[in-house]
Amino acid sequence: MMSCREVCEKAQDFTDGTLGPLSRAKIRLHLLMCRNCTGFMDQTQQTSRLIKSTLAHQKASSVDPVLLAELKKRKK
Amino acid sequence: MSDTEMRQRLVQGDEDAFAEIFGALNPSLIRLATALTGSRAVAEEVTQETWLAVISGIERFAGKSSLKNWVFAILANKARTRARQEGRTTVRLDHTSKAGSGDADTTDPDSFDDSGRWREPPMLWDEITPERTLAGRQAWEIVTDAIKALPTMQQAILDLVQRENLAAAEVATLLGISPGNVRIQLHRARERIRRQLDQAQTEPHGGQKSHGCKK
Repeated sequence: MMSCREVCEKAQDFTDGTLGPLSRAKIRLHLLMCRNCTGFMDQTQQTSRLIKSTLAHQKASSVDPVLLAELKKRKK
Repeated sequence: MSDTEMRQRLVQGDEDAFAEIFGALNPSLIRLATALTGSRAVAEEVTQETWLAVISGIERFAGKSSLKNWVFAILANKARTRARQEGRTTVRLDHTSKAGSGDADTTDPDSFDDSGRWREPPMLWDEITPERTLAGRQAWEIVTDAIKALPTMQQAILDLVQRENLAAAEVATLLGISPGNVRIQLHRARERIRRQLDQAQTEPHGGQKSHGCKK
């Protein structure tokens, strides 16, 4: 039986889907019986979603005129 | 737009197509270059040089990798060359990180008793949307500031994995570190951000100890 500490250590890999089937099954079993780890896993998953969303909304600066000038050369 | 279509439009000097790929990749390119050169100013120059190389050499993109990976690879090469020229260390990782050490070094032993059970239960979070206000700020602002406070290498790794959806092995190649190290740094970065969000919920003005994993 996996301990809460082990579940915590593997929470990000579980969230990312990078664990093997046996580890995933052990964690799922633990989560069925442990409200604390279920809460921690939810924190981990929400954090990952918020990071993705925040990074996705970052805007690039406008395109530098030097790059646009280089692009125009291709049209010739 | 597919890579093939993007290539074709860039060959023709299509400004809309360039604006699209520039908007999609430029923030991540600057982060990666900053991590590799150790300087934001140098990173911006290297990123500019990368785009110039992409525009002038787009015919050389043969589709063996994704266009995105091709652009990142050009940038990583240029950034490493520039870092060498300027005598900079290209990779900065803190000394406690080492490949193969697993995730144990991100675990706060104080959170668990000797049998590995929680000493104090972690807080149950309500759903946090990016716009939700925590400790007087919206969640996305807390996350943005937390990302900015990370070491540049962790920022780049977080960005490449969570924004660009690159695999740990691809990120490792770009940064010249092991995939194990990529995972460790990624875990540390996300754990730091989780703790900041947790703290923002538990104590409006910060200061209360958060439970779970270190950093």
